Amino acid sequence: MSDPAIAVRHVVRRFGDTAVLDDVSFDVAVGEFVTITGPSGAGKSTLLHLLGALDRPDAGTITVCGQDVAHLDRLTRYRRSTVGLVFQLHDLIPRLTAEENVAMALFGTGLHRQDRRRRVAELLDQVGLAHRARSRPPTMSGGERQRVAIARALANRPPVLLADEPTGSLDDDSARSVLDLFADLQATSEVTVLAVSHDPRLNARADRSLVLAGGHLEPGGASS
Amino acid sequence: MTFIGLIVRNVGARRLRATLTGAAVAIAVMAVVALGTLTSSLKASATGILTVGNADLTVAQRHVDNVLNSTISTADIEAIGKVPGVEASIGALVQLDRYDAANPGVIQVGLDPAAQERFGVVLLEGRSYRATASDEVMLGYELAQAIHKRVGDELTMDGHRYRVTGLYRTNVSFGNATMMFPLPVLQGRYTKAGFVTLGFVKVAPGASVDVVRRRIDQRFPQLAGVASEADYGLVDNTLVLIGAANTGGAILAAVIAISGVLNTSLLSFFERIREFGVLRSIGWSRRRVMALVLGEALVVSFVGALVGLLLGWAAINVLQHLSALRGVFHPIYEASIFGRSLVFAFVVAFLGSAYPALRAAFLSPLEAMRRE
Repeated sequence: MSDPAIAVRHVVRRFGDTAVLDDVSFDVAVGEFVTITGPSGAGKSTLLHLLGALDRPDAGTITVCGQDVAHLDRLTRYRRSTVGLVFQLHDLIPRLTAEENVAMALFGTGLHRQDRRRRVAELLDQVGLAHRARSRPPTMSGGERQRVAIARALANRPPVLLADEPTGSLDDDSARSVLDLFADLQATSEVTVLAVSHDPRLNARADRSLVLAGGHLEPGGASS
Repeated sequence: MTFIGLIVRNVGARRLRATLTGAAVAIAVMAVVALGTLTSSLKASATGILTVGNADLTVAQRHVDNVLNSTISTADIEAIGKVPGVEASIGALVQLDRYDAANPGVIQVGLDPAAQERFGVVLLEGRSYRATASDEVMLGYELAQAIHKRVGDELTMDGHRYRVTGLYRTNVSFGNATMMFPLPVLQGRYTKAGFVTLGFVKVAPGASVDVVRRRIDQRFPQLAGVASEADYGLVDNTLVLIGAANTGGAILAAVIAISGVLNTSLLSFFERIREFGVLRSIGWSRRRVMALVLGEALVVSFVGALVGLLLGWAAINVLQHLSALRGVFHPIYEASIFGRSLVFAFVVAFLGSAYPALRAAFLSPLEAMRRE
């Protein structure tokens, strides 16, 4: 059996006296689509931040694609190449076009300008927004913006995609377009997807859902 | 899109703010260019008095505030002529006075006509004045143009009427805006009979200028020999004051410009904290974030500097025509001043944006993304 894409072991993260994550352990296999659900304040986003190397655990280990995230020295390289992050509010730069927003993730990668342009076109095509390449985020729908954010997250071909409530602020139609995109990704690539979500529509499309409550993964909370 | 294209785009997205910041830099650069040119030109004019006539060294009274206040007896000038190694020495009385409202500071030189050639005077038109003629004057050709006088015309100076006998030029530009009288006439008008302002010394072939200078300094302790611009401070403190004023002005301009750039960069930083957090979370290095913030400040400052150079050039032209500076301010456009101004703009950009750039680079992505 191959190593898991994500291995979380006895992770603890405290803020003051409160343990937001308390001895959390789980694995996500390569190519798997897993959601983490649970009530507000359960530690879902904190877990995602730890996986994205935006924060460090107080105890335990997190291994992503063989890299010990808690003790990484080269965070920039990890964030650029190992994980792709998608945020609930998409966080695109409004003054830049869709293609320029995607290209932001390719600065500093050593790719030649022409290759960057080609890669951006390929990504926008992949998320079904080739025709919106020159549009700016304020003129796009919520679903389109989120798909641009996903394209940006995939720009450096990361093996793991981490998404924080990717459909949380979207209407049904927009959410469906994003869900279809995740399904396409799974079908066409080996990308491992871990999404934090309250959205039952997203959970329904996932291979598994983990339930996080009170800083613990609920026993038997995983569902397929 | 290139990284530089991104920087330009970001600057363009905040046009008004970038324009105001660029204006602050432009005004600062204008001040640096104008003050720098004014200073170096005044310095050249002042030291030009000492270099006139191709003398090997000039002698003036030691430690006077202004070289024009130097007083040397004609007896000392004659005695200097007998110092070993001196081929010849001539004395000239130099006085600054008002001609009219448009020319409030005209340099008048009292010189024996026989010494004019050694003094570097080249007759362009007419003839020289006679050695003791109390009603004759010669004009530098630039002054003649400025006051619309020709050979044969009359002019009044300090209540005395003179006829223009000739026009001349000299080996230094300031000399072309002077007027020249017989030495005793100018001495009489300023009650300085037997005294001159400066002595011009020609060293004999084969003699060392330094050795001759030391001999003069030893024999005449109240006088100082000036062989180069660096010695000028011995006989005039004005340049030190002008230099200090220039430095003070440049520092003030720098403070204003740095404050402008810092203000803009900080505002931009606070507005874009979340953006910087996103950039860090998608794999931008600290160095690249810093380069972005510094680059934006550099673009604004560079454009501001170019505008400032043009404004500086315009300001110099305006200053040149101010009556208060006519005759003493002959602009010398030195490439080094323009080069220094560009360096100044880059230093302003760097100092003004270094702190916001560091803050942006060392921002915790997580903290940044919690900002709304």
